[in-house]
Amino acid sequence: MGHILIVEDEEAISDLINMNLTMVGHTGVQAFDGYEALEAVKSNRFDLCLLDVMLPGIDGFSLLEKFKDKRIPVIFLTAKSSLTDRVKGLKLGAEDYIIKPFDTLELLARIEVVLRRGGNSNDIFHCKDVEVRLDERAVYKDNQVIDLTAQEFALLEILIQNRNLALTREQLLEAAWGYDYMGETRTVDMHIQRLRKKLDWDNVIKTVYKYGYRLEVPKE
Amino acid sequence: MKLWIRIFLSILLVSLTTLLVSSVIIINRNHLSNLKQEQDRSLNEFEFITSSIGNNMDFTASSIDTMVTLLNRYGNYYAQRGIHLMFYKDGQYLYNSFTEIEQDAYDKLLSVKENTKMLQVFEENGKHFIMVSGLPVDQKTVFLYAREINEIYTAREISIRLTVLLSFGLVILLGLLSYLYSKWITRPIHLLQKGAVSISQGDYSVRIPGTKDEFNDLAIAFNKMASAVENRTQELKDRAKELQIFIDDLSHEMNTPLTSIQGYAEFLQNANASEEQRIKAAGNIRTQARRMKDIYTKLMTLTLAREHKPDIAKVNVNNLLSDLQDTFDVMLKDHNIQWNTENHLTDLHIDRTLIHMLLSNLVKNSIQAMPEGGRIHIRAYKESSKPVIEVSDNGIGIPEDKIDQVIKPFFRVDKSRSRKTGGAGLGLSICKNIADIHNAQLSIHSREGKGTTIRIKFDYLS
Repeated sequence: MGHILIVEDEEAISDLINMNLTMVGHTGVQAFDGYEALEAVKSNRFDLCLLDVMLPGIDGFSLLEKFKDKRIPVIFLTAKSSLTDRVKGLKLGAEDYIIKPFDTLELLARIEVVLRRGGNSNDIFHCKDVEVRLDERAVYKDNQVIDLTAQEFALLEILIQNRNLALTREQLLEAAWGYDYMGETRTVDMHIQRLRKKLDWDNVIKTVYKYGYRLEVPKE
Repeated sequence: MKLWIRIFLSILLVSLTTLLVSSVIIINRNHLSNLKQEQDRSLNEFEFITSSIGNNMDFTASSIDTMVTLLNRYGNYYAQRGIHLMFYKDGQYLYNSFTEIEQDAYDKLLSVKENTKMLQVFEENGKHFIMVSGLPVDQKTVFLYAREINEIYTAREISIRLTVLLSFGLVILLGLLSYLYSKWITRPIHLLQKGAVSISQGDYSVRIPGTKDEFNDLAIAFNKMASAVENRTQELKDRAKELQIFIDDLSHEMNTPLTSIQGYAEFLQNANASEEQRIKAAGNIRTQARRMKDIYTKLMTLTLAREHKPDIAKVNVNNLLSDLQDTFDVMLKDHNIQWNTENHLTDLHIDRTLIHMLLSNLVKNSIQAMPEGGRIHIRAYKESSKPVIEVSDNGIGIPEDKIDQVIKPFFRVDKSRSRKTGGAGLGLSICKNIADIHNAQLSIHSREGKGTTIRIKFDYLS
């Protein structure tokens, strides 16, 4: 998936972000201040940068400008909820911002959006003998076309994008069925059953006890 | 009623009243004096005329006709000169050409006794006459004398009219003057009122100019009050701003560990993590929770220290310093730090717990400033008979432009470094508080790269 630069001076948070990114298939490089970040950019090509604007030494906003020159899309993290900061960041050319404390799934979703915008998201997913082509909305098992309903595909897509992270039934419902869907979560269970059957993924889509479901794949 | 109106009316009324009263009195006296003069003159003329007539006429021998003819002549003669004469004898007028007043009106004058005269002033149709009666010649004939004395009454009227006119003039002129004057006199009050209104509307910079009268004291007092209000308001504004900054910093400090805790907890719940990752995540949660507890504890200390009543006792300085060394013994060895004490004091009158906390904080800061090792030097001595304790190190020092800010809550010179070592940035503000409680002065001397010395100077003579 994406190669992402994490610029955050708080070690614990930087580690956390990195762990989550690797979970879903991205690769991450951690920089703890502005200088490290600039060094990293010299020798690496990144698909995205997560940037904390409250950095010691070089100010986050000036780093933002530098990254913009290098055409690296930036999502900036800010602890302050000040409107002026957010506007400033966006005006300086950031793709998006997220306020700390942030929801992991939300962060990952926004990363996904930015990567897609930049044409960097991986459109093909493999697991066992199943190949899923997200842009074609086609699924192949053993090179045979598998028929999925639109709703089943939507659910599959969410599971793939958030692989190795457990999602609650409510989260799956909201993400795959839509915000205003008024139905019960039982439909989620039913669709999971069908996906497992059609793709022979009983051991891939795991039930997480008392939580939800998780698509488990070995980490890249 | 407003003061200036009262002053204005008072001046006006007093002046007017004085004028009117004096005028009335003077006019009246004048008039009476004039009247007296006329009376005297009338009596004299009466005397003169009647004796002249008496000398030239024989009242006892002459016949009535003769008398009448003669009296006529006299009457006409004097009438032309403004004096009316009338003669009455045996119940009838021998001569009377006086038509201005009805005869009935002065009937009383006919009853004049011998050797006396009667005098009376009559008014008829707006004209005033003075009349005298007497029995001058033969004790039988009543001589009557009448003369118009209108001049004095006219004079009086003119005087009155003049007074009225003057009063008007006075009212107008004096009115204007006293209006201006009373406004001028009450000007300080007006200034004071304007000043007070300005202050009530938030403009504390207004001041009243001094005057050379009783208002000066008031002006001075007012200005002092305005200054006090201005200062107090500024103090409160500054305090509020400080508080706001404190709260902002505090929320930021709390926010960071919370983000970690939330994130790692979420990770533990839903990520397909390896055992190693799970242990790491859980460890992070504990660390962050401990950090929040640390901030919380330090904050409570800060607050309590402010409220705390110090438990002052005589404390042996050698003991205090050796306790301090014991506390940090292991850490000093681990960090390769040399410990030096130089003590010239015997005792200190302090709250032992608080001062130990203060010194511990300072030592901790010094240790953190020398990650590669170094030297900590503790000095206790007297300066101008007042006790001083110094904690010095040869560590990283504090940049000159940051020295004033280091004692502010949550301030850290280098944010990332001290967060790693777990510092909340509250240490020095707690030390400052403890020093304040002891009425001691805390001063910071530092050179970047060379080292730092914190000096606590107590305020009592030992």
